[in-house]
Amino acid sequence: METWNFSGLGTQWSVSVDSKALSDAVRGNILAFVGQFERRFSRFLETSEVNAFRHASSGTYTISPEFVELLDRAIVLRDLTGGVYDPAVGALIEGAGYDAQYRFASEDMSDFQLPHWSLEGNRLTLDGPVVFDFGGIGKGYCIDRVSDILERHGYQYRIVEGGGDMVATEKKNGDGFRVALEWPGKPDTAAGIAVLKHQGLAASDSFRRRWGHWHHIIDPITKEPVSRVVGCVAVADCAWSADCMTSGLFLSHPDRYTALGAHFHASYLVFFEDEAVHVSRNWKGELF
Amino acid sequence: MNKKAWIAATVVVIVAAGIWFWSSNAQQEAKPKAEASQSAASQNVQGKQPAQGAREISTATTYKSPGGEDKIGFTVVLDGSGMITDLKTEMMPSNPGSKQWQDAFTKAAPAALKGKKLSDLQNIDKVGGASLTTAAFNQALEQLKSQI
Repeated sequence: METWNFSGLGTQWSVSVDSKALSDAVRGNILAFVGQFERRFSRFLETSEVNAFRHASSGTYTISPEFVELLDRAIVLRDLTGGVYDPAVGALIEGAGYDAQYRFASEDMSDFQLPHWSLEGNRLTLDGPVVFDFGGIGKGYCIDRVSDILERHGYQYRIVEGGGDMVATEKKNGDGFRVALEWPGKPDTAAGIAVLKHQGLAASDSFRRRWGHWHHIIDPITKEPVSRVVGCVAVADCAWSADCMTSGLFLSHPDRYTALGAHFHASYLVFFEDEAVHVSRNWKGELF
Repeated sequence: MNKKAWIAATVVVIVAAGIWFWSSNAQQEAKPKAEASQSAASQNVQGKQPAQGAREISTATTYKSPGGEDKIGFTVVLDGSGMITDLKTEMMPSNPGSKQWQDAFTKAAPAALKGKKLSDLQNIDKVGGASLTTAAFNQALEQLKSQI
């Protein structure tokens, strides 16, 4: 198995392939794709598409096909979470301090209201300025696209990982990939193992990006960082679905978990702040 | 990048260093306790004296956190067979406001690592959930390598 590591989207990626060596061409394609995805959809880059409406007046605007794809998915997740997941939350996260300069000094955000936005085809309608943030669902999408690039170049047996989220096909001998699941907040401790075969996995926790009393997963209705859930893991058909699932689990009341799981065909673990762990009925991995 | 990720990175590196140290000395007599930590700023490390055949590896690393620049020290005690028997962390926070959750982590770490064979991590292709930055990892790596 050959493993290639690189940086992208502010984290470490690794691509492992079984049987055929990675060519310069496929590496170049992957780096180019991840680079342009970051330039287009990072909240931290002024010229990105998600920042294009930071000073917009109300109106209808045409957006790119990829932006449409991401927003279409965001709408589904917004519905499934009862409106708690919403990519228009960018200004709230920035106000809390997680902005491009990593100010980490928070303003009073009690007046924040989620901006209204709607989408019809590739036409986005706004009431006023909006800062979009795809932090909850963008990486999974990017991971799947990288996997597609490998598929097109003939790398059947592979696993693509970006900062702890991943998608895998299988090994040449037919085995799946064994993935140790980190226990949220307890480094070097495994909560269990999942074996991925033509599946994606995503993990999310609120420990890694904290400042003051904030962390990076913020409920736009209460305007507070989510405290009930401290971490979760999801396994689905692809990395994007798994990534959407973890965002949904963090931001939803447990009553909504079943519907989320059904929509994304996911199995999952949810770690609560009181140390309880919720395991979905269809969970197949080992647990320690 | 916040404290916990840096702590996690350093802990992983120390554990990895333990493997190298142990495997590179496998044929030799167990050495007595290793030299003192390279960190000039570290305070006295509390705790029991390591048993015969044990060795200690220490390091301290600085990292940028939302609260500013912070320093954290680690000492890992390995017994003769390479098993971690104790882990001592030293928080040296520049921002006293963040001490509270730092203490919570310090309490958790020894319980999580104590008695866990490093070889338990075999047969794993990937780790889900970890998102380490390159700079911290490499920095801690260099510091540890210089002691082995």
